[in-house]
Amino acid sequence: MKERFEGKPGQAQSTLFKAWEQKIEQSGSKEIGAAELAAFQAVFTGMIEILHNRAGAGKAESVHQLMEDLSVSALAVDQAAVCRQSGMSLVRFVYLFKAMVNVCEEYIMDHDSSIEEKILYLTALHRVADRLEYAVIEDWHLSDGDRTHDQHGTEKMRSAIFQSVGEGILLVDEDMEVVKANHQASEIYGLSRENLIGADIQSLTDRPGAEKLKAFFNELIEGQRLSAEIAGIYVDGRMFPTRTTVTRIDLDGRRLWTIVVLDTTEEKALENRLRHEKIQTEEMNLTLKNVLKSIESDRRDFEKSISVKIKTSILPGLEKIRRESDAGVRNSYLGLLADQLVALTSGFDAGIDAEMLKLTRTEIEVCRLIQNGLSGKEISEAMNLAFETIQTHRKNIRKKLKLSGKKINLNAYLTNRICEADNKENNA
Amino acid sequence: MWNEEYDIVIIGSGFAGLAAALEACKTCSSVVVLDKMRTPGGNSAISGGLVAAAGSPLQEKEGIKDSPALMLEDMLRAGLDFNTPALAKIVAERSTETLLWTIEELGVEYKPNLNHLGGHSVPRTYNTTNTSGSGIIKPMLAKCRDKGIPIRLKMLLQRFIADEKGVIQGVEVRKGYLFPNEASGETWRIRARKAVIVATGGFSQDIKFRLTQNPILTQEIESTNQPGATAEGLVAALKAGATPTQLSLIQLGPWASRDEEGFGVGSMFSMLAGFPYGILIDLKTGRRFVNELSDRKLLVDAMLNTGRESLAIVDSVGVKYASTLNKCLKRGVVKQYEAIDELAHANRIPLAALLETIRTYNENVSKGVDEDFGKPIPDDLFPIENPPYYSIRLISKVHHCMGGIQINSRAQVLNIETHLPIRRFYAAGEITGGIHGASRLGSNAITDCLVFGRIAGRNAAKERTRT
Ligand SMILES: Cc1cc2nc3c(=O)[nH]c(=O)nc-3n(C[C@H](O)[C@H](O)[C@H](O)COP(=O)(O)OP(=O)(O)OC[C@H]3O[C@@H](n4cnc5c(N)ncnc54)[C@H](O)[C@@H]3O)c2cc1C
Repeated sequence: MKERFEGKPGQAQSTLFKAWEQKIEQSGSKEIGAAELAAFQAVFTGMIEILHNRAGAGKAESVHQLMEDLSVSALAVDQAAVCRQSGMSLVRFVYLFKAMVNVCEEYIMDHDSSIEEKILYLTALHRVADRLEYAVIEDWHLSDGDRTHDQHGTEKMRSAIFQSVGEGILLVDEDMEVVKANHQASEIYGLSRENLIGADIQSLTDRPGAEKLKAFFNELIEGQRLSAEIAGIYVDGRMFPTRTTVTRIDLDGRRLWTIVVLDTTEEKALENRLRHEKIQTEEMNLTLKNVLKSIESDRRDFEKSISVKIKTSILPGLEKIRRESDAGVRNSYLGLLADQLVALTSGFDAGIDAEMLKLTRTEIEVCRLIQNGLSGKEISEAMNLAFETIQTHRKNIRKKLKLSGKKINLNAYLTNRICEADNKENNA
Repeated sequence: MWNEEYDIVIIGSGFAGLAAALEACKTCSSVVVLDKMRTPGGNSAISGGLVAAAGSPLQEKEGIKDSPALMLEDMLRAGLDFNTPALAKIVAERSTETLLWTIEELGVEYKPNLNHLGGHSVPRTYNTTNTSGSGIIKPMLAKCRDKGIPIRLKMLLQRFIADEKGVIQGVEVRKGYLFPNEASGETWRIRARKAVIVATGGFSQDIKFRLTQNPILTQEIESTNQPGATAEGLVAALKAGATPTQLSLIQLGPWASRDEEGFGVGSMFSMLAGFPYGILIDLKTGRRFVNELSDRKLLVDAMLNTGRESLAIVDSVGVKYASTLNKCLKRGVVKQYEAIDELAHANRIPLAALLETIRTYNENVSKGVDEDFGKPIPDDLFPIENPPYYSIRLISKVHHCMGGIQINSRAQVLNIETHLPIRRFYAAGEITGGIHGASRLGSNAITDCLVFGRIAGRNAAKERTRT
């Protein structure tokens, strides 16, 4: 029965009802009659639809909300009354009901949503189912009053149901003393029946919880129901969150309150996790946004620096080449320019080369010869210039290369620069 | 083979189990407590919270002369010398130290007055402020939580697992057990690197088992115990080679009410007020028939033997010690009457006889000697003469198992064949036998459970850790 919630609701419903009928059949129980089917369809269709709509929209909304939407008790009671009038026994009704809930459970478990979602739906389902079951059975007994039946059996059944409900149920009297409690209530508070009966209900919650309950006791009129999220206290002192619903009932002139307690620890943990995840996602989004922003600003910075470099070194270099007639010198300029262009995008610091481009043609020539290892005298002879002139050129070169006053040998510096440029090429 | 392991595995979350856990965790960080029920605390949590201690601060304050030797003497007398003296002596000797431990380490709160319970020579019984064992169990559980000791519920002990030499290695339990459904849960094995401590309490609610020991105790006889007080823990220990001792010594409580289930709120009414400050009479004759402050065995025997219906009566002076009075009245367990004739009429007691009984009793009280039954008459005991009067209808209910498995003074379980300790196996609390002999004195069980629980925990923690 692998299904997705997105399927047409009608289709899922018919699958579910079919599974239900099969289940009943396999159990060897009496086949489901048309009237029974109709009654259960009326009760469960709403539930199944809600499961569909919620999950179909892809949002696992809080179970609480889901519950509020499911105020179908009245409908269930009506339908149960129809069943009862057509002669169905309560045992049969409860049996069919449990089977249907079971089918819904399997449906939820089989379907491919996240485990968190599944838990949400299961909790919701159980809440609704318990409530419906309780409502139907209460009503069944009330209307049963005028018929002859096995009082003892009914009492047994009532107590079995009281005990089997998934929520803690406490009956409290005017002294705020617990007079009746089910197993689940025992389990929730860690107190055996003997300890729970006679306990002050205020001892099971904290100060604000007790105030809330007292207020409810005062406010409630008969039959009305109020609920609140209050703290519970386990026998070892641990506090836990509960959803507590209080109803007032008046019996033989006595006022009593039923208190239905659901330990919402798991639910809260789940909610917290979801909330946490949401916060994390939001944080992640923010980070991403910032990263993108900073990338953008980096890009702008980068463009700016390139345009500056083009203006300050590449364009002047080009101008020099344009004006140069000597092929050798032009080649030197071209080489330097090529390095500059590569450096523009490769990210290497092309500072030295940029300085080199500022040199005059004579100075470049001098550099070339220095690089080739010629002495000052040899250069003056090769260039046919006075030795002093060559020395002046050397000084100017040093100045332009920002080497003035530094103990750096020009030959070594220039050779080095060439090596660097070679390396760059090799690496590229 | 194993699903999980801890250093020390303790079965039972009552006084004995929790005391063992708290003591063990002082030197051992890996301790777990298992319990089969949905809630922790067993009988301990529903008990009356009465704790005996010899030589306590309250006794000193009230000028009561007492000693461990006197307490031991009382225990042996009530126990008809069926007690194992060495064990009983340990309980008496460590009683005050243990009481102080509950106050100082656990923060337990007690009422500021002592109680004089039947069979004790002197008042030596403390009572928790809330008149319940939960006043001790709750702080114990809080401490366990504090120390990170897990209390794992719905875990039914099925058997102890031993190696080929009989050394206990761990336990097999049903995890996810739903009392009392035998089929519930799954098999789960937990290894104990140091030791296993069994503290599963008594079997007063196990009708089949108690019938094997005492055919009188049919299902018609109610019990004061929680429904899970059954024998399978004891039987598992026997299967592991433990020595059974005095299993047929099962105590009935004489103070429980006919008009409510179990221990209820009436029992404490009788114990705190009805017996010490009132009289116990036979409905048919309107006469007293026993010293109301006898130990339980004598009381029950006196009540059962003649098939009497018994009633305890106290007046408005004596009733002030009954801390559960309001609840008793509310539940109809105790009835209030403006005059004795009203009380006699409502309970169909012959009026003249009843008036005569009260007159004689009052005379005895004024004289300071009970010439008829030898009830001790302390200074704060007054004649029954101040209305309104209160009465409670009594019936005996199965209450405590004196018998159990045999331990030595180190709380080690003794092997039935070798009489030597079964290695890495300890026991404490009501599952053990021999400490109280034929009759346990009221308020001695809590002391016993705490004393031997702590001994078991301390010694288990000293075991070498298996790898
Ligand atoms: C109503 C009542 C009032 C009492 N009042 C007093 C009093 O005021 N003063 C006094 O001294 N004594 C009193 N006693 C006696 C005393 O309370 C008990 O003897 C004592 O609590 C026993 O403690 P324990 O730790 O041995 O067992 P328990 O407190 O009974 O704990 C045993 C635990 O083991 C668990 N268990 C049992 N079998 C298994 C199994 N197979 N697997 C897993 N877990 C298991 C049970 O569920 C239970 O929680 C009273 C007893 C009762 C019943």
